[in-house]
Amino acid sequence: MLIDVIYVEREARAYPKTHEVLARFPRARVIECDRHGALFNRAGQNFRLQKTRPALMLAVKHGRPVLPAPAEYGLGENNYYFSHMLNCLYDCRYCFLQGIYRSANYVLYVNYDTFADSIREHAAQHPRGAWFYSGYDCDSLALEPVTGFARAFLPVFESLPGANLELRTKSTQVRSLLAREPIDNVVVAFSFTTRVAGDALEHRVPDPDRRIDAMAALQAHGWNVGVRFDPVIYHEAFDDAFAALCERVFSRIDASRLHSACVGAFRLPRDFFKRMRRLYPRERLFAQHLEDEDGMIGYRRELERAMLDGAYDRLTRYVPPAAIRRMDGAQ
Amino acid sequence: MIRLCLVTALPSEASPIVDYFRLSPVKDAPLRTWRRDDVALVASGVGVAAVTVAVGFLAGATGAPRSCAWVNVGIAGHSHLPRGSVVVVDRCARRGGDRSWYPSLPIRTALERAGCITVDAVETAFAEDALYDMECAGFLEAAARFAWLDLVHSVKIVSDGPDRDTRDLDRNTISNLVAAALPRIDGELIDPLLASATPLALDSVPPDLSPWLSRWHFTVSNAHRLREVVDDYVAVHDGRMPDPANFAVCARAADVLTRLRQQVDAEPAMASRC
Repeated sequence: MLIDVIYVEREARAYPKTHEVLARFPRARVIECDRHGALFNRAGQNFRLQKTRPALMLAVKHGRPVLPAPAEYGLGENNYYFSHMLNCLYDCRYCFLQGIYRSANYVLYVNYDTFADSIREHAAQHPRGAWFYSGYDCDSLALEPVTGFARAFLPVFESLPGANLELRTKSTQVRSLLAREPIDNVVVAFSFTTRVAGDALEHRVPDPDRRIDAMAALQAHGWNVGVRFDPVIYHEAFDDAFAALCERVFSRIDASRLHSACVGAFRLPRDFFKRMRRLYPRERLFAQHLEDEDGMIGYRRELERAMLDGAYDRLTRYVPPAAIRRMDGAQ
Repeated sequence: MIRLCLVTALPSEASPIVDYFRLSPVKDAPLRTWRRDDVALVASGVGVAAVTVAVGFLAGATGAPRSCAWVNVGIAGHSHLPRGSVVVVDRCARRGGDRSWYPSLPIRTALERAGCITVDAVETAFAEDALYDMECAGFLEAAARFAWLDLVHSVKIVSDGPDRDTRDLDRNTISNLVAAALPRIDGELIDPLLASATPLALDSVPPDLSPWLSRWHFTVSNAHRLREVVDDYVAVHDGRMPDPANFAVCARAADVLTRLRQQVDAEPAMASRC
């Protein structure tokens, strides 16, 4: 990972994580700032331009570090998400982060203890169990060598058996997980799209076979692993391509021991979509087969339904239906 | 279409730029302005107010799009860097002000980078490890109104410092300093900046809808929809515009929109990238 510039919030200077990260990039230009929000949220930035050479911002998280997950997001009851980081190493054209943030720079919040305390508080409110998602605003593991996120948070969840953690990733950065004993209440969920969609729309993402290798290694080590086909992207011969993807994954992964599989379609709020389309007006993904329904842009209903029905049916050849979740709510 | 707007304070800073880019003076302009093809230059005069006015003037005179790169080139003092050093500003504050600017480069450059303090009078103390100039903050603030922030940059050539005051800085010396720095400024900043902006510039060229608007009556909202669906058509046809002649059977604008949409959706999804 190449980082030329690191912005450091004055307040973040005091945190050990800041020193740890700065030590990894001794040649980076370090620029001190008062508040990262003044840079990160400033109007007039171009996400697409910044994505070519993102800078890293080290900041302190204020406000609520753990938030209720959106209604459609989640595996169980009492779903929460937290974002130790904003933005992603990868550059997937369908990713809603392009529509949320004005900046493509990576923000890393260095006050991990604040997140951990808040997770403990929320977990205490739900003695019968809760889910925490770390991969909403970033890839949970892609920057693990820099952030040490999993290394820091796995012990937190180890001490909270009723609190479940989903690490969602497209990366192969699983060394820190393989270096320790697995934890029952943690699932490492790997995202995949068909080869056609991946080749066209996922940039800088590790090859699917390497991701499957990482997933297989984790499963062999005893970790709970999951697969996320979310979003599925429509293209010609989608059903055949999805069948090939399933074969590719489940020829290496023991589906009977799979924690969960999710399948959902490309769908996002209108305002996010508009921003993404403005960034990439010549992007084919944004040009076809979409409709606006109550402020959400997604594939036309019948097309979405057909894709998800096909994907669900295909998945049931490998995975017990109880372990499959459709993000459109149908089963 | 304009791709590069250059701003200097002094005519002696502008002069080598005029030669380097082979610019021609713009006659009867209220500020000293030069231009050739897609490059324009203005010499603003000294100070924040002057550069603010000059940026506004140049933006209006050229109609520069947001994908245009804006670069302020000029001399500056520095606490310890030697005369002739070429430095890109990556943090700027106005002395006595409460705001900072953080120009972020979307490119890799071998040029040195430093903070800059914009002052109202020639600096003599050089207390901080920074550049000292008289325009940078005003330039960044003003140019950001017309271009993407990531394309607005200031590059300084160190001319003075604690051991070398400004009294020996005559016009020739200033021009020579800028002239010597220009190949590096071009190669390490301007050229890669323009390359990074090129995809944005290409994508932001609006399609020519006039043949459609003159042939059918589009309401304002339908004209917006036309723009969207023509963009989509271009996206799925690898840049090719639809031909209005192929829609002659359509009596109304709404029929045109429907037919265009059908043609877009009839194309294989993502086929061109597979």
